[in-house]
Amino acid sequence: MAYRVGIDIGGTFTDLVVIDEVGRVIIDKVPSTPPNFAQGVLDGLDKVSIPIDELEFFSHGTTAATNAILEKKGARTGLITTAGFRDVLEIRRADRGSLYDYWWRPPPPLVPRHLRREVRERISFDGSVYDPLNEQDVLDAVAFLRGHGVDAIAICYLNSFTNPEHERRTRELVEEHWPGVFVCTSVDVLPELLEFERTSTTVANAYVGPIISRYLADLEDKMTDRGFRDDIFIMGSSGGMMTTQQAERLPVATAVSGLAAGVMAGATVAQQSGLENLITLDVGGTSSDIALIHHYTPRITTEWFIEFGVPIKLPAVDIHTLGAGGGSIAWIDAGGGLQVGPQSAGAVPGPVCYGNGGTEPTTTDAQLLLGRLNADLWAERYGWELDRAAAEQAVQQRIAMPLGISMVDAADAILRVTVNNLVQGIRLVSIERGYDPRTFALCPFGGAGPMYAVDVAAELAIPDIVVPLHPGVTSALGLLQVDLRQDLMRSALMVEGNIDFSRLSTLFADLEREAHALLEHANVSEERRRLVRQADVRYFGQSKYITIPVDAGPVDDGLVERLIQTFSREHEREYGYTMPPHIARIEIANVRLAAVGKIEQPAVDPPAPSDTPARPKSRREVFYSGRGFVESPVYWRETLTRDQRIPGPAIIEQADSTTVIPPGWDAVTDDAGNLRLNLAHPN
Amino acid sequence: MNLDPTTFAILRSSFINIANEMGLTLGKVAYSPVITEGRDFAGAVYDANGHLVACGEHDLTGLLGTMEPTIQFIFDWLGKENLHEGDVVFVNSPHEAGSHLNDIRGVKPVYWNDELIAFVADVGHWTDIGGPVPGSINPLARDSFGEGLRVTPIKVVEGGRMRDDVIKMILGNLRLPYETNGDIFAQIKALDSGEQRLHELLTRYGPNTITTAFIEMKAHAAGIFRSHLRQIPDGTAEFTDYIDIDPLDLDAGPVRIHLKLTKCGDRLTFDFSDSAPAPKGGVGAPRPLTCSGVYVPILNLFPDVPFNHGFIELCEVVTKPGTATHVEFPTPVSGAAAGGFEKVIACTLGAMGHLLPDKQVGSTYNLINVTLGGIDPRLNKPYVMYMWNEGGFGGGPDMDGGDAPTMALFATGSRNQPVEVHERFFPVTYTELTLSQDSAGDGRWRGCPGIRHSYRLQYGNGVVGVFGDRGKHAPWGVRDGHAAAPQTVYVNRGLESERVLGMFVSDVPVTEGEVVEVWSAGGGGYGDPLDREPERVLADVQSGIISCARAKEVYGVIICCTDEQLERYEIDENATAAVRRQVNLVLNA
Repeated sequence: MAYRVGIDIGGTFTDLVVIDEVGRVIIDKVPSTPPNFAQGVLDGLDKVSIPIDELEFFSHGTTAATNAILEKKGARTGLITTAGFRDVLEIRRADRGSLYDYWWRPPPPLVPRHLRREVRERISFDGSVYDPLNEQDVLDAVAFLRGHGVDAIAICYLNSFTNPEHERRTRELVEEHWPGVFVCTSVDVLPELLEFERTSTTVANAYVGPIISRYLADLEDKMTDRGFRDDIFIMGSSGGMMTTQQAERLPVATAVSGLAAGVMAGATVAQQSGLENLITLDVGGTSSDIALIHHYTPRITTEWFIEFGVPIKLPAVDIHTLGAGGGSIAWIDAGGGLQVGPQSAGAVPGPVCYGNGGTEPTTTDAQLLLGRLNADLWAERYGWELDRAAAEQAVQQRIAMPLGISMVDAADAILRVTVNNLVQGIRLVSIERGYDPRTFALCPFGGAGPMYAVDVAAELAIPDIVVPLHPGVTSALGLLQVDLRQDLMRSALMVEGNIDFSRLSTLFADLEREAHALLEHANVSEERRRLVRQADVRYFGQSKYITIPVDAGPVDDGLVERLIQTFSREHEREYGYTMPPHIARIEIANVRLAAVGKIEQPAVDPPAPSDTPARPKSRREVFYSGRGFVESPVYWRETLTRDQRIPGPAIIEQADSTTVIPPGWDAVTDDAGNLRLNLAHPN
Repeated sequence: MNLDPTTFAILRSSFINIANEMGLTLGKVAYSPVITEGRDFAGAVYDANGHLVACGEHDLTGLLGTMEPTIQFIFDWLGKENLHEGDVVFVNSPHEAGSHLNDIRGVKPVYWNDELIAFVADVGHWTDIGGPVPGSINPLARDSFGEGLRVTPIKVVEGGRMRDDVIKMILGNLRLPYETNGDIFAQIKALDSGEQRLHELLTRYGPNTITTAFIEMKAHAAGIFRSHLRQIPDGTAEFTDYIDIDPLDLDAGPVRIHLKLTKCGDRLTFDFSDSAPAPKGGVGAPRPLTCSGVYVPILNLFPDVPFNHGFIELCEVVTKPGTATHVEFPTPVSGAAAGGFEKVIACTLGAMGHLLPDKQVGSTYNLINVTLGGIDPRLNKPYVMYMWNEGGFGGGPDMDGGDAPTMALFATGSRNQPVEVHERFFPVTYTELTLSQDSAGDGRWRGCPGIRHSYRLQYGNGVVGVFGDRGKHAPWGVRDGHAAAPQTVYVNRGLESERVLGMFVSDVPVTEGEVVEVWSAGGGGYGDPLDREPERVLADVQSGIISCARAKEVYGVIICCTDEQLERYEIDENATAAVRRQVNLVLNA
């Protein structure tokens, strides 16, 4: 039997999805093993007992890069930059992280000031050399950084995207005088206008470089020891797989690895269930992640950051994180108002009901008290009992008594406020990106997502909900549903009326050559390659651009004309207007190429439908807002037949999640095995 | 009637989100880069009396405090009874309703079954509002007529119908009619979205619940603010600060801004009536800006207090018409933000620090507006390069002002402009962008350093204008903390042709190849620098925020370089102890 395995390594748990050659799915979960995450991967493989020699495809998602930055545990990094400009990294764009807070202080930069070394050189805005590179300055900087024991060097000069020579030569000098140090240049990481964002991305890449290299080497060694001979794949932020070699070259491109995999799984769900527009809602322990899938395609953005002040301007699946999750703490503010989050009890101590010393009531405690969370199932799965009494006491004392309401009403209040936080977040994210949420379906996942889904959808007037087959391990499943992908770019900066077609053509040709080399290196045969041209287009003078697909034909007037038309259409949709040509010319800021290598997608065989309609496995009292406790049938998801309609109130349980169906809604399993929730038709 | 706590919690965040949606819509759909890139906009929800209920989380904070007076002025000018469903009123009159002429406010009443329930309002900075200079910030204006178009309250939409005649009249007076039309459209669209979202809530909850929630919003904010006020002893504190000069009356000397702050029970009274008479040049603050200059720093000291009328009500602002904190029409106000407004903020921080030592902080830097204009000989086209800069915040109890300069207290969400963008669009080559060594106010907790922006005029000749402040009256320190270095602008610093421009100049000729340097101030220091731990001083020398000489002279910490190649430093413990001992002896003698 040949197996394909997707492993999503989170901070707390490592999730596994195994698909065998007939499409059967096995899911499991083991504790993560920070800081040596590779160990957790092996533990997981042991637990599902897959013989390594039958492992045909192995891919994983990891938060190693993000964690290194959030926890400031990256490599000691040095920066070599243009004389006079070493503070670009620290000054950032100078915005403050809090609108009202005199005490707010900017986060310390990833490279402290004395390790930011200045070199005399200057490239002009047009690419001409204003001051030649002073090579002695470079050698001095290298000696200095070596003396200070750095492990990685980032090189970023002003205007380098218009002329890479100084950065290239600097890199040569570094490699010549200090072989083996991790070094990267901004022209290789992000050859694009805007010095702070380019420096930030390059520095972040250097900062996580040695960490990712070590981690991947460790994982490869361990897997090789066990006899694994194939490539190990790692999920990239833009929604495709990278080879380990690619990830070592551009490690920061793995930053939203696991989250991106979840959204890509959502895209597969959209295809399977024929839902063109989908909002994915991944409810986790401390936060919830929202993404929009439009025309079956996840939105990609270059406007995102790992934490405030650390923007990464590489393409990534556009994910918006809200501070509302299972561990979010409910509290009463100084004005007597009920608030939920953004503080979280996290995994430790976790919700009060975990019995690990948590004292602040969380949304998970409220779910338990309202009968939505099945304590028995929990005990069976994790081997320990939830402490209901402690949760009751916390909600009673911290919320119910100060507000003068009953414990049950307090728990209901916590959930309603949480739902409202999710709703407001989804609404803002949609509007900010130019979409109306009512034209989308909702795809909830994460263990807790399907518990909130109907309440959230109802508030947003979203008529359609689709709960994937395995909501608790959606990201791990997504790792088996994507292609190999690497995103390449060049700065173009050509303005309408003055477009140099031969240069534009050369830029695409260069990118295409580079893409073929990469795919060749990754052993992707010609017929499995797909090269997708794109261009970043904006009105001349604006800073934000829209990434527009470019057709593959010859670069001529017609191609640019079509580009402008598509841009106008997208601008109209996103911003609600277009500018007439006599007011604004368009500019091609960058050209891009996505180098895609098709990976065979395993068919997932949803569990065979049983012949007889499922019967409830039990009944329990479940609280619904506005209704109170209602005795509700509890179904086991795998026993549902196709087209068996489950009217609310009902609970549908499965190993990795619980779906709540309030009165007035009903659920039915579709052909792909996804659970569809809809407002019940009045009859 | 009281709302149940869940309904209130949900409505509270719904109101805030309506403001957020309005702000985001405006920030996204508008054309003017000052709005879309500079984020110079705000959106908010008001009750039927024009009292602030909720504002957004993306706004330019300095604008929000000016918007209650906007609605009151509309009542005064048009008559509240003459407002009807489907109307949108525009206004910019800075003296009665706002900040400066560029900030155009849109206000829309929201009705439910013919009953006035609420107002939604927004404001955006239009790139140009006419008058003699492009961009309409004119430091030489002798009066408001020399600044631009004054729009007194006027309906641009009436009963749901756009009044094209009015909009065309406004656009007919501006330099960028097409772009501004886009801003008008965006502001109306944002107001419509606010009205629509309020209607959705009214449909669902009914008018009684909504208006009750408005009342509870204010009570909630007041409750939180009162919990802070209880920690402040009753008493009075005074604070004086100065605008360096009246640019149109240099003989008059510095312009005094004076605050007498009284805390009594659960009320703060900010009395500015003893401030100097209104200056002739546009550096005085109109009253709405003075109010905002009180709210912004107070909210910054108490970040958990929601900004709405419940908070505003507890902060009474007293001003005397005709003074520098209450300039009257037609006195110019182009430089009000850098002048009077910043000083009101400083006085508020200063006086609060006296009443509440836990929250005492050094002053922040001061806004500087710098413009470089001319003809770019490569294109033979005129250009105006406008820059507003970062600077330092002050030190406070147990905290330095930070290491990296940021935007001003009243513009915390704004961003600076990248070097590479300026070099693309303007004929300049930057020579440095750096933290300014020894610019921070020294102290037990030092201020954050200021910044140096320097650029060479690469092609052609041009003229420079500077509209700032604190060239003489530097950001002050507290509790024996030192003042920061004052702000200045140089041309050709260090050369024979050096010129020091200071903070109030216009039309200074600069020739091709000359270098302009803008030095912003750091923040003021907190506490005696001699009490700062030597290790922190060492770290500042290591990073270059202060020099070795400064460490010795001001902090009494002797730092020697142990490895010049690797720039390693060490504290000379014995010498430091000796110096500090000696200073103490002198002080005690």
